[in-house]
Amino acid sequence: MTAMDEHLLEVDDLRVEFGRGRGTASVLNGVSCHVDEGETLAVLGESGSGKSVTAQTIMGILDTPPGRITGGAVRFRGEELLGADEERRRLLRGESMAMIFQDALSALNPVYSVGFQIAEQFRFRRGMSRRDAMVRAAEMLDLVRIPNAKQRVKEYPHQFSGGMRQRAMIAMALALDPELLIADEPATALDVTVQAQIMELLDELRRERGTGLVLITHDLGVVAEVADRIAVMYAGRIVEHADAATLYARPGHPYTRGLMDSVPRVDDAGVGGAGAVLRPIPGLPPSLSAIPHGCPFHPRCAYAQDVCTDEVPPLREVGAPDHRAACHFAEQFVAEGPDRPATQDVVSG
Amino acid sequence: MTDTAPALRARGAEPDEAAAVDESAGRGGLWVDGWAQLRRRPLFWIASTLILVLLVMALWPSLFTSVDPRVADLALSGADPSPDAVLGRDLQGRDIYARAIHGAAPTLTVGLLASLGTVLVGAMAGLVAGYRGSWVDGLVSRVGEVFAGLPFILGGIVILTTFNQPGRIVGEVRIVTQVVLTIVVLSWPLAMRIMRAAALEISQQDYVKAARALGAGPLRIVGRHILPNTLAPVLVFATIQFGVFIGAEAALSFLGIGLRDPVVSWGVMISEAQERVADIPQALFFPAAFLVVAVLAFVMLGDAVRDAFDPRGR
Repeated sequence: MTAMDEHLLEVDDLRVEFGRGRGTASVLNGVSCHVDEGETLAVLGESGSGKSVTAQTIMGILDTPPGRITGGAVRFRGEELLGADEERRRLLRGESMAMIFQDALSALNPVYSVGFQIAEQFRFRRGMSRRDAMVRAAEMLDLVRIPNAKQRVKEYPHQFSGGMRQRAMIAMALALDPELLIADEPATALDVTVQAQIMELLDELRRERGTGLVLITHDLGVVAEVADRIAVMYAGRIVEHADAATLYARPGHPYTRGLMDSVPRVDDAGVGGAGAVLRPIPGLPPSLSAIPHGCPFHPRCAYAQDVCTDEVPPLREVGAPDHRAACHFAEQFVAEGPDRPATQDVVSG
Repeated sequence: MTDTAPALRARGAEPDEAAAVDESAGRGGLWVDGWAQLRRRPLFWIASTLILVLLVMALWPSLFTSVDPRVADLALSGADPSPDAVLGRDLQGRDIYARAIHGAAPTLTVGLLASLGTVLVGAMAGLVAGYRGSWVDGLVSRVGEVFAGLPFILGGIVILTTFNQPGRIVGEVRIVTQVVLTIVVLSWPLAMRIMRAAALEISQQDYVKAARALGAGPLRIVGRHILPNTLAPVLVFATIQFGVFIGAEAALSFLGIGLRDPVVSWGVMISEAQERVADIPQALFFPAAFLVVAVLAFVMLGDAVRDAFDPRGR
């Protein structure tokens, strides 16, 4: 692999299963994506679509068992990680790649002060003294805009508010200046105004430091504002991938369209009156131990044809460069644009 | 400590001070929080005062009595309490009060060493089992079940009579070691189970995963994250077991297989007194009273500590 087409992170046909025997759940069924420096890739999907498992597999913190990586590759700057020995991976974690968790309260150890937990990395990875590391920890808290960082560095996680805890998490993840940051639903547990602040902060830090950001979320609103590219996941597969503008303008997969239709929009109220009807996607995501034949989305898809139950649609280029969708009829959908309802059978009113 | 205990209690009762304690309960983590809770409990102060007295008794028995507990005067056999011997004399004519005071040291030594040993062996095994999981967990748990399945008294009889023929005279250090090891061998699965359950629970926490995501190695995860968060239940267990093991020592002595003459312990005294309990009731009664108070003190302390460190109980 030459230096030119080497991505910061490249995930290639990643497959993960949980359990054994008849109850085996195929959680990831060939996930491929990549992130470059200073770029934000949003991974979008419902609960259980495999977003978090993807993140944990990349980080190498997936619990095995019950999880099992059955195939594929994860390359960091061209270096294959799945086969690398644990010591090498451990050194990369924190130093080169770090992760932010959804619930900062449970991701911070309750028995240590916030500063102590940030400082640990400077002490063990940089060989700093306890005092110097605490000073650096306060600087990190300042960087993530925690007021009075010098005082608050000595406080414990339960004394921080939800938003501040998430900021502290970010400070901890960025302490060693990693090149790749994976944020697993970083704002989901927070209220909307704080969500916006956290996303803004992440976006700003990414720009300043040139960090590659993988943003895992189920929130379309969050994605629209900060993502360069979006990958939509369904049942352990990436079903659509495009840059943010293209995805919103011309979604190529009925699932993506369904997701967009199921979000309330302020301008809807203007057109359809205050009671504009939301169009949810009918049905539930499939059980991962019994993924339907053919296209996994076909039982819930209003446009399903015979071919959809027989053949798995490959993820292929549809129209614009780098716009890929896994639907037999993606070209049609792309041509039509987003306005036609994805779920035509829903009774209106 | 005996002097500061009531002083602290009195200060804590003042409204201003109580409010200050409440505030400090929010600042500074589990241990500070637990201590703030603990110092407001009368039970804790009563129990620790008793334990302190027992400790002084064990370390410096001469503060309480100048009589040699082994001096026997058969002419005074079974004498009633008198200024000469405040609690009377036993069958051999020895001073019961002096013997009870001198009995504290071996009794507490056995209790201390047994609970230390149980916790060290059990917690270590439980930590490894709970954190590593898979076959290590299976192996440790099954071995633990085998030992936990042995009835304590039966196991004690088998082990101690194998090493010592009944009635044989054995040295003090040797018999104490044997009794302690017997208790540890038969009791470590209890500590192991508590530690294993706690370690299992903690290793599922997000902060353990987060630590791994930041590149912490297994040693640091166990040392920094799992151990501090699992220590509280094990410490509570150890405190309560301290009392239980004192009772266990007495039971083994009573059966004539544990500590024995020339060692003076409360269990030994009870064992010797049983034959003539109708004639010399004080020889049974007083060591039994010391024993009950000691067991109660440790169990009470354990209870108070558990209440303080387990937020769910509040």
